[in-house]
This record gives sequence, C-alpha cells and structure tokens, in this order.
Amino acid sequence: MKKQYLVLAFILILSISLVFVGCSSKQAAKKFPSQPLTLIVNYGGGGSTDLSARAIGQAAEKILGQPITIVNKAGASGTTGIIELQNSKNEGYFLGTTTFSPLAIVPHTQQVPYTPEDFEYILGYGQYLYGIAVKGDSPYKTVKDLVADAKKKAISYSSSGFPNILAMIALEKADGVKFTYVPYASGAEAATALLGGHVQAVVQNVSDIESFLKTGEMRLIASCSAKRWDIAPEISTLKEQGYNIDITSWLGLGVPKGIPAENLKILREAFKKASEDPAYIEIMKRIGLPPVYLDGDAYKKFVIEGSVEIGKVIKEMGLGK
Amino acid sequence: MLEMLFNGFADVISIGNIGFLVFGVMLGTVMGAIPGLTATMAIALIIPMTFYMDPVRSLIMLIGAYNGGIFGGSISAILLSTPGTPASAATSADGFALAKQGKAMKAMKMALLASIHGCLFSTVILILVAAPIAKFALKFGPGEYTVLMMFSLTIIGSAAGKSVVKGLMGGALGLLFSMVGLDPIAGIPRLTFSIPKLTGGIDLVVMLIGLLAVSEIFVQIEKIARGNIHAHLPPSATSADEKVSLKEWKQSYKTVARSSVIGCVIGALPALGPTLAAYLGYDMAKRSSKHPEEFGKGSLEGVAASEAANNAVCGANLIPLLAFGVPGDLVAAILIGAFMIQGITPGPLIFREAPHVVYGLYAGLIVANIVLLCITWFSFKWFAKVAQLSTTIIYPVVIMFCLVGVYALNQSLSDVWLMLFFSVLGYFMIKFDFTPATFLIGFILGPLFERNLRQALLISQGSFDIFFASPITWFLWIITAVSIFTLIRRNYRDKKTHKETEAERLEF
Amino acid sequence: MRWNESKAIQGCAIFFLVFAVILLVFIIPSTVKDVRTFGTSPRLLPDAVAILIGVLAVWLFFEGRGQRNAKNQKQYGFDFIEVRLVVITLAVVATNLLLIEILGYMITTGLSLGALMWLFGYRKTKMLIATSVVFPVTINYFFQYLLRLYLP
Repeated sequence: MKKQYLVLAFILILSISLVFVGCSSKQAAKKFPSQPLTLIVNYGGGGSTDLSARAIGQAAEKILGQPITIVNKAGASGTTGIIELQNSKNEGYFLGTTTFSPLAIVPHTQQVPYTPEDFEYILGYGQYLYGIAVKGDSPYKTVKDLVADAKKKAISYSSSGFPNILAMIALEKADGVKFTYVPYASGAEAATALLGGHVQAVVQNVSDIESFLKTGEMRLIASCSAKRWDIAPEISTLKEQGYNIDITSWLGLGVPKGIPAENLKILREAFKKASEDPAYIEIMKRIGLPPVYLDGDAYKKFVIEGSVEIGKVIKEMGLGK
Repeated sequence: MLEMLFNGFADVISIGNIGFLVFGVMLGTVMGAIPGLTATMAIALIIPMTFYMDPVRSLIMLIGAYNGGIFGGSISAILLSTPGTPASAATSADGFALAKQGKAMKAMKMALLASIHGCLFSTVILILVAAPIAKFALKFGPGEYTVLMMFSLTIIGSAAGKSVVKGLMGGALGLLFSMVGLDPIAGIPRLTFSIPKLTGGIDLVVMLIGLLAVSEIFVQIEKIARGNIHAHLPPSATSADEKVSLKEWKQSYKTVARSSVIGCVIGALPALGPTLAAYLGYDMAKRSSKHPEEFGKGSLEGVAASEAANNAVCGANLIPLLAFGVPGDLVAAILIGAFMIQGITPGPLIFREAPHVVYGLYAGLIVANIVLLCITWFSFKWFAKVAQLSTTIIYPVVIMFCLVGVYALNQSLSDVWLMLFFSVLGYFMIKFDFTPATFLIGFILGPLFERNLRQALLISQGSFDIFFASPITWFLWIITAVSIFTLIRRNYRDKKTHKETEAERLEF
Repeated sequence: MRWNESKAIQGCAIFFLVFAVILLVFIIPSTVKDVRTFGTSPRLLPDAVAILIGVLAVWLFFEGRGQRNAKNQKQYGFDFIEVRLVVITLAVVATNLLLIEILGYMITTGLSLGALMWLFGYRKTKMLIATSVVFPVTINYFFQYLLRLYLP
C-alpha cells in the first residue's frame, strides 16, 4: 500500500513541475519583440481574413525576428476575436485582425464591450470593393435602367448585409424608389440567388462576382466603391454616376490600447515593410484582396467615421439596439 | 474526359502525394472520432500546411481529411454512443445497440463499407454530371427550400419512437434553441439575454455532444451507482459477429444505394449538410424496410443508411463548389480558401483555367476512399478491444474527451459550460422518454426553415404563391403529404397493435 | 421519487404549458425586438414555436390522461442512489472547469479522471493512476504540438 502512495506522490510532483516548466517564465526586459507574438483572427480558418492574416504574418515574422502564432477566435460576427484582443495584454505581443464590420457596424445592432477607441491600429492592409451586378441576360444595362424599373414593379436584390446594402439605400434615397432587400448568409449564396433568377440584382465583393462576370453570366452595372474595378474598368462608380456614396471595407491589424509608443512604432514599421513583401503580395492577389496600405492613424479615422455614417442608416432602418 | 481523368490519376499517384493523403486521412479520422473535434477542424488545421504545396497535393490531403473525418465520427458513435461528428448522430443509436450485442466490428465494417460506397457514388456523379446538377440546383430558391424543409420536419415524427407528441415536443424545443443568436434576416440578436457569447448562436457540436453523448453517459452512470458494472462492450460472441457477410451486404444494398442518392441530392443543394442527409437516409430506410421495428435497436440497415448518406455528401458538396464557387457546407467553404491560395478560383471558369486540378481532385477523391478503406479496416479490431474495458474506466475518459474536444473547437470554456447545460437537459429528456435526436433535428432544421421562409416572403412581397410556384415545389408538397400520411397511418397501426397486445395480456 | 407513466406525462405537459406561456409573455418580448423593416418580424417564428409548444403540451396532457387506467405502466423515477452519483459526477466536472485555468489542464484533468474512476468503483489503483496521468499528458501534447492548439 505504502509503495503505491509513494508512486502516486511522485507522479503528482512530476506533473506539477511539468506544468510549471510549461508555463513561460517572466523574461528579462529585452528589445521588443523578445518573445513570439500572437495574432488573433476574428474569423474562421480558410476565410479571406484568416488567409490574409497568415500571409502578412508570415511576411512580418522575418522582419520582426520572432514567430507569429495565428489563433482563430471566430464567432458572433467577428466580435469574439475583437473582444479577445481587447482583453489581451497590451505590451504589443498580442495583435489581431481589427476588421471594419465588427468595429463599425455591429456595435450599432448589438451590445459589445468595446469601441474603436479601445485599440491602436497598426495598418490597414486589405480593401474590399463592392459592386452591383445583374444577370447577364437581363435587360438592365445601367443603374438608371434598374431604378426606372423599380418605379414600376418590385425589384429585389440579394446581399450578405452591411455595408453592401448602403449602396442600394443611397439609390433609394436619391431616386425615390424602394428595393426589396433579401438577406443571404454569405456572398456566395447571394450570388447564386441572382443566378437562379430569384432576385434581380446583387451587391457583393469582387471575389464573389468576378468569375461570373468573366463568363458573362453576370453583368456589373456599377462599382460601389471609390474606384472602378480592375477587371471591369469600363464600368463607372456610383459616385461618377452622381450618387454620393462610396463603400469600401478595410482589413486591418490592431493592438489593445495602452501599448508602449515605442513598441507600436516597431510594429507599424515592421508590418509596413511586410506589406511590400512580394510573396505576401502574390498570395493577397490570389485570394482577391489586392494589397493596399493605409497607415494606422488613417485606419482609425476611417473606422470611426464609417461607424458614424452607418450608425445613422441603421437607426433609420429601425435596427438599432 | 476519360483521358483527363487518367491524367488526374497520374498526377495523384506519386509517393509524396499518397503520403500526404494518408496523413490527411488519418488525421481526419482521428479528429472525427474524438467527440467534439470535427472534420471541419481537421481541415482548418491542415490549411496552413498547404500554403506552399502544389494544388493537387494540398487538395487531396484536405479531401482525405474530410472523408476521414466524416467517417471517423461513426467510430465513436458505434463504440461509445457518442457521435464524433454531427454527421454520425443518426448512426449512434443503432450502431451502439449493435455494439452492445457484441457486434461492434460488424457495425463498424458496415459503416465503413457504406461510407465508401456513398462517397464513391457521389464522386462518380460529380465527375459525370456536375454541371447539369448544379444548374438544376440553382432553381431551388427560398420558396423551394422552405417546402423541402417542411418535408424534412416530418422526419421528426418518425424519429420519435413510441410517442409522436414527445417527438414533436423535442423537435419544437430544438427549433426554439436554434433561434438563439442572430436573426437570420434582420441581423439583430434574439433570445440572447444580452450575453455576448450567445449572439453567435449555439454551436451544433457543443449541443450535440452535451445532449446526445454526455447525457447518455449520465443515464448510464445511474446503472453504475447500482453496482451494475460491466465491460463497456461485450466481446463478440461468434466470429460472424466480426464480419459483414456477403448476404448482409446484399440485403442492405438497396438501402445503401438509396441513401447514397439522398446524400448526393442533399450535398448538391448548398447549405444543407451531412447530418440532415444522414437522418433523411435513415428515415427513408426505416419507412421502406421490412423490419422497421429494428431501427433504433440495432438494425444494420440503419447504420448503413445513415453512413452512406452522410459520406455521399462529401463528393456531392463539391458540385456547387466547382460549378459556382458556392460551398455546400462549412468544409467546402474552407476548401474555397485552399483553392484561392493556389491561385485558382472555384467557379464556372475552373474547368477552363485549371482543369488538371479538377481532375486531380476527382482522382484524389477516389484514391482517398481506397486509402480510407485500407487503413481503417485493420484498425477496427484494436478499437473494439479498447471498448471492452470496464465502464468505470471508459465513462470518465470519454467525459474528459468530450470536455477537451468541445473546448478545442473554439478555445472557449463557455462552450464547455454550454455543453454541460445541454447534457443536463438531455439527461432529463432521456429519463422522461423523450428522444434527444428529435431535438437535434429541430435544431438543425430551424434556421434553414426560418431563413428560407422569410426570404421567400420577402421576394414574393408577402404572398404565399411563391410556395406553389414551380414544379419543384409541387413535387415537394406531394412527398410532404405522403410523409405525413404514412406517419399517421403508422401511428394508428402502432396504437392498434399496442392495444391488441394489451388486451391479450389482460386475458391471461 | 417515482411516478407511473400517466402522471409523469401529465406533469411534463403542465411544465411545458407553463414554459410556453412564460416564453410567449415574458421571454420573447424582452429578448427579441419586433423589427418590421424586412416584412416578417424576428418575433414571428419564436412566437410560432412557443405556441406550438403550448399546443403540444395540451396534446401531451391528454395523452397522459388517456393512459391513467392502463395496467403495467412504465415507472419513471429518480432514485436517490442513482441520482447521487450523477450529481457528484456533474460536480466533479464543474469543479474541474472552474479550476482549470488556475491549475492547468493536465492537473485538473488528471485529478478529475482519478476521482471519477474511483467514485465509480474502480479499485485497481495502479491502472487508475496510470490512466489519470497518461491521458492528460498525451492529450496535452497531441493538442499542443501536433495541432498547435493551446489548452489552459
């Protein structure tokens, strides 16, 4: 009996010591970064946010000299990851993908414990362009055609939500028409709805629509963003057509506020360089996010201004919390 | 096309590729078998490894993992009554019952054979008729989906067991809980009591493990409390119990074939998923079986039906993916990411831009199935032996597995607490003779039904015409009516036989 | 506590009926906004399901009542000895979760495993300790090194 207790005690002590060894001990203050970093991605593995984060993470690792571990904390429209970041230590070892939607859009419809001011931003590195498309064989050649028809009968369009529908709302306000918005769970589903003829138009990103534009099954009638699409340079933007609306969504990296200024500077410089890395640029092109760069403070401004804009629309639609 | 297919095989069959495929299959199977970890997770973990691999290799590794994952779920479903993945939920009732009769290996082998058949069948369909099927699938708009969901809801009635009301009640509760989260149309939180965690809704796996697995363990623990300790599973009585005889296979073949078709259909329609396919296949098999009373108590046919259907989804959900770039389910969505890293955009152009990748994928699917068959066939004996340990070891270990698995899903402890909540709920359900599986079906169908219903009403500006607009809807209404009719008739007949046997008993 | 089937079913039915009413009157209105911009309201289906539960509850009640004179009814019950073990298991698991961030995955799991196995009556001490140690350690390494997922 005694022997067995001894064995038990021995094993317990062994396990406890293993645990303590496993935990990283406090390291002496060295040049930042002196430890591996963690990048919290607020969407699931395999999505464009995740892939782009991994790409830029890999490029930045070489520059910072420390590995960057990607952690996925998906959920609740991207807010779970943001909340996780907010609660992380703010020395600079924890960063996260602070995407536009959970920062600027979601807080208007749900209770969230954060605001865009709770973070400092490293950079904006990806840009989503939006566009309005109709079926290739439909009679609508321009936005004007669509609007004209909307005055006569019910026109419905599909989309995966904000900020896409702001484009159509702008049209409604400017021309005094009403569209029927049919929400879908994802851009891909919204696109197929158009293909199946269940709706007359779709408002989505480049990647959801571009292959159909190439085959002619869909026709782009406007770009909703500040610039025209690379693959359809002859289609003008809504702004050019006279509507005062510009929808661009950004992908960015941030850290919890309170980070030492020196560390933030190091991170910003490192990621700026990383965004110029050719391997990274190649991957970004492939996943449909042509690389762009917005510096940290400009990104913050963009998020805050965007949030105010969208907040107004959401209140009008009665969706406010 | 055949020539391209041969080229595809040539691409696939290289030592390196096969090596990675085997790795993918094994990882997928193991993760599928651990309750709480899913095939989806396995794939998400493999993706970073594929960044720098060539397209064919990375894709077949992912496909291998997916296949392995969906199948792996049935291992724990059969041995532990704990579906390792939601897709195997329908297999656990009969599979485990068979295992308790000492026929664990027979059940596992049948599951494997049915799964392979399902997947190969859907792969062939994929290769031959992807484009036309995809075009047809496009015609399914929200109106059609709504009626399809109504048909699916009638399955609850037949999954109910003795009391239809209890089954429906379970389903209704499932519907209710499925609404926790964001409203599918307006995007605002519902039933979340301002708890941020709940705005993401309740994860299917978390609920599944708690409601079906851990709750079942709690019920079994009661037996242990009475001193009823035994080996978790009895050893097989005869060597026949360890094999699937040719006769048994032939008997079940019709079911397997039918389930494979069902799985293909469900897989080709985006957003439905293998779990629904499994239950539909199981239900269809039960209705047309000569021994419906065996279902739920250890019907080999039942195991075959659900496994063939859920694996048939594997091949089929590539149909909308390759044709339109629309994922059939979460896994396909991740696969899109994998494609894109390689610079390939799934969608109508893929056949023009990168046909060799597509055919490599096809070949890879076929080879993956063969690999799965070879690897797992011989490991069954070992699994069965482990399952024969005493329940006093097995249950604590399984509980711990469930805890880890659920935690690992989203690295969230609150998920684990949620799982515990459902296990208590499930415990009470089982004690009062409600079937938790009906809750599961309601939970899965709820969002699908609601979203499509409301989308349809939006499109039709509030008119109900949209539900009768196309031939597809008429067909679906007819089979719904038939389904309800057979349900009522069976219930009536059951009640009559019940009364008769009661009368006979009293006469003694 | 034991009830025969008829009483048990009627009890459940009443429970569900009350639940449905509370849902309809309190829970749904307070947690679901009635938003009209998209035609159908987010309340539509929750209300419908609540009503469904109510209706099923009534049906259930009558099914239970109809059986009240049947002979040889199944007994539903909670016996103290059985339930006690279930509750203890639940308590062990809950404690495990509460302590997991403080003591770390390996220790809490190891202790819980050992405790549960012992409570269930497993007395082969060597095997007990072996499993309680081997399991958490293996799982930990599997997750941490193979899958790069961190456990507390």
